[in-house]
Amino acid sequence: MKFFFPHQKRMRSTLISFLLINGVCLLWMAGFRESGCLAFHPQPPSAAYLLGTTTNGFDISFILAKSIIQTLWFLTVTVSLVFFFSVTLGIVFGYFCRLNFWVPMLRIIEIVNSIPLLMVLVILGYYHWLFWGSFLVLMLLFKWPLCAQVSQGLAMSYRVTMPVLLAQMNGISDLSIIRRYFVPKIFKALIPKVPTLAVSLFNTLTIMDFLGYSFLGSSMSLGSLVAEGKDNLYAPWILLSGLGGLLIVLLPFILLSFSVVSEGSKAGERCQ
Amino acid sequence: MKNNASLDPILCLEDLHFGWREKKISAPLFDGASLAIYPGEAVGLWAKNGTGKTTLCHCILGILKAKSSRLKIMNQSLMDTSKAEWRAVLKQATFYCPGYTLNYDVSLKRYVKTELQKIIKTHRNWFEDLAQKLDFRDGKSLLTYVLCKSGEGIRLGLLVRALRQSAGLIILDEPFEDLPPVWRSVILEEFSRQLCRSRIGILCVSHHPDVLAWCHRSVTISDQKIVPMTLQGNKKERGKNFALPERKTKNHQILFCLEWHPMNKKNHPNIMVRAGEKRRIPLTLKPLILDGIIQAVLTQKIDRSILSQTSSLQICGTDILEGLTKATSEEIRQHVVFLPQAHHVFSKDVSFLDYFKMLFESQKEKSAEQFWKTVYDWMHIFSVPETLLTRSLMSVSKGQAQKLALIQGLLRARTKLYIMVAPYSGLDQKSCEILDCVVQELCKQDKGFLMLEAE
Repeated sequence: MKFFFPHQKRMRSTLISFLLINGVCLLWMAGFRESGCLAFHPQPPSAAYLLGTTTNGFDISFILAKSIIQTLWFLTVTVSLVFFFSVTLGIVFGYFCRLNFWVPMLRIIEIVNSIPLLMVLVILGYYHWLFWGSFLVLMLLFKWPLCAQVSQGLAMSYRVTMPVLLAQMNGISDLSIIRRYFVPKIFKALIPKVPTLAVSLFNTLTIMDFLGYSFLGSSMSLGSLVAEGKDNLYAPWILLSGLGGLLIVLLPFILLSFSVVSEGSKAGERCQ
Repeated sequence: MKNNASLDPILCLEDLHFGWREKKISAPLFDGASLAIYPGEAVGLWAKNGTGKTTLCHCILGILKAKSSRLKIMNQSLMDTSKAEWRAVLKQATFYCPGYTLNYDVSLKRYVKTELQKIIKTHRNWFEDLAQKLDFRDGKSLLTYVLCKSGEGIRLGLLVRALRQSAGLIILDEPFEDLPPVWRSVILEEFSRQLCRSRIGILCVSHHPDVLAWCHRSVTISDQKIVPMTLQGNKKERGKNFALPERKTKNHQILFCLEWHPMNKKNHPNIMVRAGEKRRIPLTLKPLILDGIIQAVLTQKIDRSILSQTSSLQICGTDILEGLTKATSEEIRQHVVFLPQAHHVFSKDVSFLDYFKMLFESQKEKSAEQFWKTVYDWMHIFSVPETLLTRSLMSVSKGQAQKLALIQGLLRARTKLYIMVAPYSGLDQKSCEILDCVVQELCKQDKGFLMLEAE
């Protein structure tokens, strides 16, 4: 566990905010009855409808609670998968440099970076091929260069240091060296990249929702709420609620970026 | 008669309280320690490994913040001056020559280069004289050596810079560890002159008896206080706590054989290590022995630029210059242990425990119980506290880290040849004796030792 989360103590605030958001949203949703979710007109915030209703008469607070949980979980899973995949790929290609002769990773990164992701997503959405699974795969395919390039560089520079060379000389297996030497160091260096990755993925997700290619369920999502708010500016609570929802989803990642902004405490270091 | 100003101490440290906190338990290191150094005085600091010699230097220089202390440097009190002023005092009136755990990075190299260039501008003749005394052709070749040799070079550069400190406190933390003895005597002589000429005081942390003998007085750390070193304290303790049975059948296999190219034969004698032998060679051969062989064994490619001076290099019967196959390099890996200094063995981010776990994962001969028993036995032999295992390189003293580096090398049972680089560096006298004893006993077991040392 220590290898993957070297900033354990500092990441506590992120974890707490994540659980808190989930808990509040679930509790909020539990308080609703199906009939209570509908109203006939876009209504401003009131005691009955805390954040008002949409033009279709749906309670915005219910939509927010549902879509925040969905988006947050989807984002967390996607970010984790993309991060682990890209860092692992970078470490493997950095440590076993010979692999680059067969699969030139830097060239592949350049090719991947030059493909317009949004266009691909819109085309897939147009043909109704966009669902959470395909989106996840596409994110893995297009977002891995963000961390892989850095982790490969770090691994390549670290593999020629004396402790690593000596460990190789002493017959310690490559897997052990990667696990004990490379993973902690590179994870520690790349954890600050997670919020950047999360924002990048979240932007893509929201833009797709905004354009009307939502795939996280049948009900409205955050992006579509913003789109509806933009179309109905006479009911500003819709747009403001949508933007507030976006901020809440990003809150754990914002806290993470603050908590890992400084160097993590070194393992076993003595304190005064 | 000395005037009042010259009687004021350069360093006046009183009532120093400092301690590390481990797992919320405070472990005091200094409890009311006091030290005064007067102008023209060199004070030697000797103590066992892990008692806080380097920590004391760091407390004086403000690298570590003491719980409480009354500190005065050149009559400027820490209590009465602002932070910025104190920083200026430290910058002008102190010079620190750190030990080997320091990272010799580019910025330090740049600093040494700038400082030496300033010295060359202002004291050219002195620098040229010093270079000749240190057996360099001229000042330029001394400067080249300082900037090209990352470890020893920068240490020498820092010492040369310390020699030109006009006033204040010079702190030398084990300064002559990997420098040749000739250089040590030249530099100490220069320091003696500087002590008479300028208003400086020297605090010299060292385990070396010659360096301590050069100092005007020596102090040690005892019961969390700094006390004058008495003969009792300096008395050598016998370190014989390790013995192995002698082998009945003696093996005289040649484990290491290096023959120089005829062009180089005049400068160096050939090196040969048989089973049960210990051979010492100068530290200047480190790049050839260590880098050349490691590179060859790991990549199975010979770096001719490093090994060009040799005509034959055999390790455990395998001629490296003829080329290595996977099988032969694997055999060398099994039978030879390379043991450089601790900061080369351990990574800064990995705790010692993780390193030993990694060693355990790589060897299949012993069970976990046997392996950890052996580790603790070795730790007991070298008097290393067991709690040290959970720490990492940067949080233990140089001596303790060196002991752990030795222990990890001595763990492997199938080893025939140990190639050690400056194995005594950072070790106190008792530990040096223990290491001598261990080497002696292992030699009885037909192990060979090739030690690269400054002396």
